Amino acid sequence: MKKVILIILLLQITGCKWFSNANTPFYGGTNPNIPDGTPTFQRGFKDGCSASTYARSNVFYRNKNKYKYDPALIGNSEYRFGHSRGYAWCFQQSVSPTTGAVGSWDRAINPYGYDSTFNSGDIGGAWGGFFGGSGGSLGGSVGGDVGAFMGVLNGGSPSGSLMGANPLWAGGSAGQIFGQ
Amino acid sequence: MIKKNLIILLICFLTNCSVSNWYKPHGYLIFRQMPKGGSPGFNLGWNHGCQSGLGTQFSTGFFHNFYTWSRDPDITSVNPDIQKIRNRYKKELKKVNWDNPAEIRKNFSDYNTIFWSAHVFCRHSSLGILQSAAMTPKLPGEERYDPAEHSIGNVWKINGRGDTRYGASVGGGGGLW
Repeated sequence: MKKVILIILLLQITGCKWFSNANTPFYGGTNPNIPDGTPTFQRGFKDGCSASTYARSNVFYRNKNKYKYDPALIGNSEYRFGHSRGYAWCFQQSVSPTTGAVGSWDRAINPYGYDSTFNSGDIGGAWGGFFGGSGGSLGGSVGGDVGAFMGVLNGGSPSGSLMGANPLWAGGSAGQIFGQ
Repeated sequence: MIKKNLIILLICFLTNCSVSNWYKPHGYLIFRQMPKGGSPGFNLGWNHGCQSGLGTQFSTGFFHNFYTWSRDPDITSVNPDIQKIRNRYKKELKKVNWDNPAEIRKNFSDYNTIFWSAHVFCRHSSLGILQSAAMTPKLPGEERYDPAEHSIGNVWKINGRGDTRYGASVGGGGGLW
């Protein structure tokens, strides 16, 4: 029984795409597919891909890749063809706004970037001041803007200090999880 | 203790020297990536290609002080003057057997083949590294280069193009897109 499990496990591991492509660069957690072709072409493709990924990706990929070109195969037209195709394809992948390795790993949430001009405003002023615009009648008795408690959550502290801002949905600021 | 440190520093210094242009901006970082095992013509072509790539407009005017177009017109020529080239690159091409026309052709061919690959790679790398440090060169028509925007500390900036942090914006300060 143990032998059968071991054989199944071995088959699974050796058949794994990740395992066979473990030494290739990847984008957003996926490996690029090396196109079908001769081993020489595929080697050229991988080498070219590594070079352009170093050139145009971010620091993470720059540490993972470098310029590769096998001098022994410089006279091999298949290798050269694969190298130039790999370089060009991975270059486009690297600088692409949707697949490129130039942003954070959560880019899939909003691949084209956040709209930095959007401002969620003050929720206290919603519905014509239902929360925050009633200072005239309630201000004296309940301490001013009854919607003020929403203020910190919505737009940060009145002083605008970093620590006072809600870390999750501080509207308008780039780089927040739910920031617009 | 000081002696040991000096020896370590010396070793580091000497090992750097094996990389051409190691003392120039991006020099060690990029030129150390030259593939090993190539013919002398391959190595010369790679170095010339990379120097030419780093000397383009993509690398900002600062790099023009250190790199420039370096392709040898004689090696590129369809009818190269062998003796002239031999004299010019006594050190770089000393391992070439100048009595063997096939080997000379092979070296010249290697030079011309790898030149553009290295040129493109170094040009792209230079711009890519500058973009990561939020030092993207200005394009013609844009406002002029402002030295006050940049400093040596930019190399540690993490909010340039390619910011990998969670939630980094690609439309705001975090990236080009």
